[in-house]
Amino acid sequence: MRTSRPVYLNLLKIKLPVTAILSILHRITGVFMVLSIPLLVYLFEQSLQDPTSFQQLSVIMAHPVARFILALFVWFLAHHLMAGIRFLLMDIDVGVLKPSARASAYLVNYLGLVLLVAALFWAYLL
Amino acid sequence: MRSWILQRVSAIFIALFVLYLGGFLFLNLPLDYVTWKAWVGLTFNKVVIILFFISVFFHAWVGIRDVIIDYVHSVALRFILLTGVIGILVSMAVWLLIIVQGA
Repeated sequence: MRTSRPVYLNLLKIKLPVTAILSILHRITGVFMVLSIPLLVYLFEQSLQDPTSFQQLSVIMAHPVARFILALFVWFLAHHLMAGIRFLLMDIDVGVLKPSARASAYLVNYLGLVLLVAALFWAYLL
Repeated sequence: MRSWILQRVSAIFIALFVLYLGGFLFLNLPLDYVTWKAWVGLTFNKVVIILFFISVFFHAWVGIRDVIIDYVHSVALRFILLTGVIGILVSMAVWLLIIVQGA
């Protein structure tokens, strides 16, 4: 359906509600994780093949950049999982009203960031 | 309705598996080859891993399908993309079966 209504899509200027941020992150993290499935299956295969490939994989995973990506992935998983639980609870009518929905959105977003920091901490100190 | 339920049920199993795997890793890091191979080699774990991947398959399918429906408005392109996604997910499932079988 095409109309000639004006469109404003400057994401940098639009102030999104916290619930919207949570929701789009839920989608983005989901898509990202699906896209990383082939790589993860490959890494899984490498980890099981023989001691040499396992060792090679360990060496690669010890690299700072790999550690960073790993921590990021942990954050993506954690955020997606927590946002998902929030949605599941809303399915059974828990936390549906606006104040609690906003509160739980803040909780998930910030808890996610806390977990990101924890993951980075762990990634670089283990 | 069916995809709604599928997505929720698969989500729950995935969450439980993540906790299970997380628990194992927490108790066994840094990992060594022998421990890892032994754990994956347990028949129980092989079954769980395969079930996990089936759950991910359905969960990812419903999710990606929704994303494609939201953003791809050309029916032809949508069809191609959805078919492609299913193809890739099924291939990954088969690959994983082969990996777990050989462990």
